[in-house]
Amino acid sequence: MINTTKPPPEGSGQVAKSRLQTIIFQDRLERSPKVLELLKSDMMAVMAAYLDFDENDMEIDLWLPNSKGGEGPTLTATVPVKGWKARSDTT
Amino acid sequence: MGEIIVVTSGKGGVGKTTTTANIGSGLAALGKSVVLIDMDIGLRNLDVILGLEQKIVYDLVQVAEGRCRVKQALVKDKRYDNLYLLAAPQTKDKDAVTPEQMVKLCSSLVDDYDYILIDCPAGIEQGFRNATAGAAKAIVVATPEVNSVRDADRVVGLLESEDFESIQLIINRVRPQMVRKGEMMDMDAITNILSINVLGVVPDDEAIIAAGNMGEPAVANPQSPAGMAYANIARRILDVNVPMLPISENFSFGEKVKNIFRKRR
Repeated sequence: MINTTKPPPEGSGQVAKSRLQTIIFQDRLERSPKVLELLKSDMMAVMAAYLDFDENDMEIDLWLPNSKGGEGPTLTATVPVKGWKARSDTT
Repeated sequence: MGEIIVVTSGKGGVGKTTTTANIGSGLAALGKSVVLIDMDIGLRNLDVILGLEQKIVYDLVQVAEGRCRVKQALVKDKRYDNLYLLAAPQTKDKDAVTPEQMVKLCSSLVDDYDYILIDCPAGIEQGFRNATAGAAKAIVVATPEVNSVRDADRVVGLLESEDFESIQLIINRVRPQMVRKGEMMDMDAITNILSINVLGVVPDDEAIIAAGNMGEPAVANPQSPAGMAYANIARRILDVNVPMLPISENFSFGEKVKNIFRKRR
């Protein structure tokens, strides 16, 4: 039986907030698509200081909740790593 | 040297004109000289909210085109001697003035008045660009609804790219009971998303409709919770430190108590 007296898990205000977060995230991305490219190149620069990898193998994507099932927009990065750039066991 | 502030929103029908009329009247009640400019060309409303519709002789396009002097076109308010309206023409298009003409018009007023408030038309096209051209500060009005906040974000983005001195948010038509029940976004949810400073939160209030009917802004009515919220916003514009109440509290009561307290101090 469905318990009808139980309150809904969240009010529509909370739904409004999470929908808005996604909509505005998407709007801002569409308005400035360069941001994603800048993010990618900055991430690569940081990783390149530590890791040996081929940037052609690297995949960075932004997923909106509907396409990946998560709560909010999600950034995924897949970077096949060949090894460390240098020994990093200094203390 | 006065301040030039544009009141804008993106979305229509969120209370820009009401906000402009009430903040202007509120500032005038605090002794400041104020000019309200209606930039909603073709759909003017500010004159009606102020109850000045019968007094308009010249409009801002005639001023911009040099067909009359700006002081000839300013209509003095019914209640406040230091509040003036520059009306929009009812028969022209939104592009009847240019951004350059607006900059010139604003700078011709800024030395003689403390505040120039510009009521922006809805949308983000030419009318928006004209209305924002002469202003250094912006007030963005949004209601606690998904579409309104989304449009506000778009407008904030456009204003940020124009190097505005300050961009502040007014959240209008808040229903405290709905916020308490979780059926309406609260101030924190909205500011979290828009990440801009909040100038004030105005409760939904039937007195606003009655005030519009009468042509007398609610800010003059101490019985109106929205009117008192606008009075507090006017004080905040003058940098008077008026604390912000959380939306979910009993709004009307809180705002009234604070006002009484201020008067008697």
